[in-house]
Amino acid sequence: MNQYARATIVQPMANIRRKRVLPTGGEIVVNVGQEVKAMQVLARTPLSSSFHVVSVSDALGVDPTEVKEYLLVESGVLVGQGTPLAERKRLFGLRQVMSPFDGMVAAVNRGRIVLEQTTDWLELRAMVPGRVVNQIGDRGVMLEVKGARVQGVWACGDVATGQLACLSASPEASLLAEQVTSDLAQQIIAVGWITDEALLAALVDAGAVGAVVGSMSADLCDAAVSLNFPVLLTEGIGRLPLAQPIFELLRELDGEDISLFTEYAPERGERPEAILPLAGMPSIDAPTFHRPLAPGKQVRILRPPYQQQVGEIVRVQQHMDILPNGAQAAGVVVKLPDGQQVFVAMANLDIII
Amino acid sequence: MSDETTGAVSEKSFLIVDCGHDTTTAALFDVVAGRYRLLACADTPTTIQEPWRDVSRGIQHAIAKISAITGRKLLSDNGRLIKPVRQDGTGVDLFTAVFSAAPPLRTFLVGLFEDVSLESARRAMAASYTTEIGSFSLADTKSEGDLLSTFVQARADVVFIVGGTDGGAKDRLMEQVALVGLGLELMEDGRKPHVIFAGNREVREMVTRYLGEQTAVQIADNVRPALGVERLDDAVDLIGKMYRMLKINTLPGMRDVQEWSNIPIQSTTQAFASIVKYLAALHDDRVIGVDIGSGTVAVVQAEVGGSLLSVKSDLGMGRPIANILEHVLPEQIGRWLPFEMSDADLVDFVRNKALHPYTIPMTEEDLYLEQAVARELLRHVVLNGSGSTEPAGRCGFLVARGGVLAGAPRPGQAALILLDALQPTGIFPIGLDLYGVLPALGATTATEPMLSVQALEGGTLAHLGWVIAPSGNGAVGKKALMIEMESAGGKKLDVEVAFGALELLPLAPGEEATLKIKPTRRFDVGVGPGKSTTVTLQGGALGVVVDVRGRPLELARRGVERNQLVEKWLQDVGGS
Repeated sequence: MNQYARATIVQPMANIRRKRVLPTGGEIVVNVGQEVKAMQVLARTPLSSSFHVVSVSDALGVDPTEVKEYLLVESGVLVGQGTPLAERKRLFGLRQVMSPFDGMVAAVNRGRIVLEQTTDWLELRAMVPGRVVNQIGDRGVMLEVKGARVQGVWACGDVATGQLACLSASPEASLLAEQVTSDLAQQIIAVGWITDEALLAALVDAGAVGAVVGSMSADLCDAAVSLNFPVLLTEGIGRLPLAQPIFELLRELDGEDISLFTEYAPERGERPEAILPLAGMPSIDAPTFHRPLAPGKQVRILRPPYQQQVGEIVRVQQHMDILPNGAQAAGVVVKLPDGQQVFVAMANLDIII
Repeated sequence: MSDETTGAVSEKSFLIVDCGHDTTTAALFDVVAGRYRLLACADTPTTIQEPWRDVSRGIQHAIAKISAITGRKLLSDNGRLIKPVRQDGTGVDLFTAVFSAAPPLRTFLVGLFEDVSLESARRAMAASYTTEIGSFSLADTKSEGDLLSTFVQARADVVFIVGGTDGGAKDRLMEQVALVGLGLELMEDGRKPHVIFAGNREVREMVTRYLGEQTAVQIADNVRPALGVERLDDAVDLIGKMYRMLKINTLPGMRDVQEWSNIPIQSTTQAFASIVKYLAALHDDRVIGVDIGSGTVAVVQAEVGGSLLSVKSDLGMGRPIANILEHVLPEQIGRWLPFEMSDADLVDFVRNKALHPYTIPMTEEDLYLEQAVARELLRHVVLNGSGSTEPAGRCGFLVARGGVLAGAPRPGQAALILLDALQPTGIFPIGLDLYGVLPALGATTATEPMLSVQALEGGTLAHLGWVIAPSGNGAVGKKALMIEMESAGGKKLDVEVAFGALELLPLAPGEEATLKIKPTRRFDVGVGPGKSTTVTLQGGALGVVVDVRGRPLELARRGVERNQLVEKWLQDVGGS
């Protein structure tokens, strides 16, 4: 019988599908099959709308049911500031109701006009070069990108793109703020972990546009959110180094273009990720998640006492076994990098694919 | 299907599934020697999320595991449930499922007065899987335009409108309804929320006529039919129906599950509440049901004639675990640890667990951390639900479920989580849903009561032991109770229990003993201060637990002394 576990993608080269969608419906400005550049606009939508209710019946002094007779506009019409919305001729003059701002007539209801004022437009950019392979309704598109991909577990800040600067000599190495001396303009740095807020500030000051980090404390996550500095955590919250395969991949691709997709929906199982487009290289299809646990698979352990160690499955236990705290769980025997073979609960494994 | 008078059952097998946020549990019941018994159960990860996005896959995985355990083929080669049982013994006769995996119902609340109808509406919402994503009332000072912006941008699943007593003034309520109508008009077709109206019954028709042109309008009894009268049951039922319709039934992969099911699919909490109410009726006593799930925490306090259901669908031991930090300070969690830990490390632990919600503790330290969080989750829900500063109060039977309890390596740990968090009083047994099947059994109580009764009697509910927990306080170390215990075999044990103590009296599972309990005048075991009582109890996994630590429990806020006390309590119940 097959046993399944969660998986994390750490792929040096693959055909990657990346969904790019607006928060609400909008206008798609690219076509399926089109090649797009990183900064190319894919779709746009009004960023925020505010509504204003104009009571026409009160302004004209008529019953709400009679307002229809006096209207000069209908739903969906664009109006400018001062545009007459309704008017009532009187014996010695004209009473008019004007639009207080530029906007659109959103609704006319029971003697009232609802005006919608659009304050700005949100433009959705690709943020990674690729090809449009699918249109997702009026929300966005699916891009296909060739390159490397690293899934994270948490992220903050806006989607970012830049050049990868791997500043760590080892998966657990960090930096001190005073070590950030060079210009990091348009760079996304990779480092084992970030240990203080001064380093975050130093990275921002040096022009870095994002970071791929093994872990940070909860306080620092909040600080990064406040700074709106894009950070992708690959391991978790606390003091956890980059997993060895992730570190090795990032070091190998040092200097390549990288995009951080920080938006994610954990409730739907969608995770943040880093994509490094690698043009001109052969590619394989994106890996499947539906692979059962089996001997030889590379797994990351997510809880103490072997937290963050990456090992290889030796044996899948068919029966429950005892954990160090005395609880029983289904699990596997994993060979750790030091050669030790340990029993790990299935729930605490992440297959690296 | 079953004969309630004789207890005889038809020979029908049941497969029941509980699809939680992170774990899907399947259990197979069949008739053995004329009575329903649990044959096997199995857990697998829930497959609601990427990459599967299909709940039926996790259910199939769990059923396949049951087949592997029992050797009974339940799925056809193309993954369909074989139903009913075939002549070769493959398949199962009946199937049903309960769900807590669906996201909560995003509810926008509209009413007149914050401290009257809106307060009642919030209590109704607290009994189901809902999240309040916005509200407006007469207290709002925003412009109509701003209220409309808030309403439209909230993207609610449901608008819950309350307000007005039956026969009372209508105008102001209808102004609020008109604003809702205007908001609905601004939304695209297909994205308009449904409306539940539970206000002044005299405007029902007007509301239906006015809003019904734009969306589906459902009517429930007024939650405040008169000043000082609150009636929530109908609204709670309707919210539950909307949750099933809009959230459970639209989960990816639900079509197969619905096709297989013989009994309407229910939410886990609704089904859990059913079995707790059923147990309250069966025992004619106050039953407290506790469910500490991955994505929901629920407490049901049921007795004949009424029940209180408190559900928090934004709290749990899984992904929403970090939300507890919005309600309690880290040190409130830390006070339940037998070791010192900084607030920063504790927050890191909780937030990291939220990123890996399905993981389980493997070390003692991690275990105690999760158990400490569970205590505060439970305390928050029970205190928040009852609006009281006292936790659960008198208890006649305590039933509990959830991975943090069922997965505790030692039964004393599970019992201590419940006693610390709820601080119940009286003489009561603790039943633990070891296999995670209690809600699914609850879903069958109406149609198959014998299945529930016999499955529970057959050991589906693990008996941790009876608890003697008097109310009252005294001086630590001073005599609080005298207990004379005589087992069925004639063995006698006299024990004097001092205030502050937590003790286990030996009574093995299956054994029975008569206990004469004599509290001192400041203590009450449920029959009056200082009054004695004699009870006959059955032994459980822990024997008999005597908890004379006082109510409410007093804990030092910090320090070695507190750590040692927590460690001692763990040792006292065999939890460490």
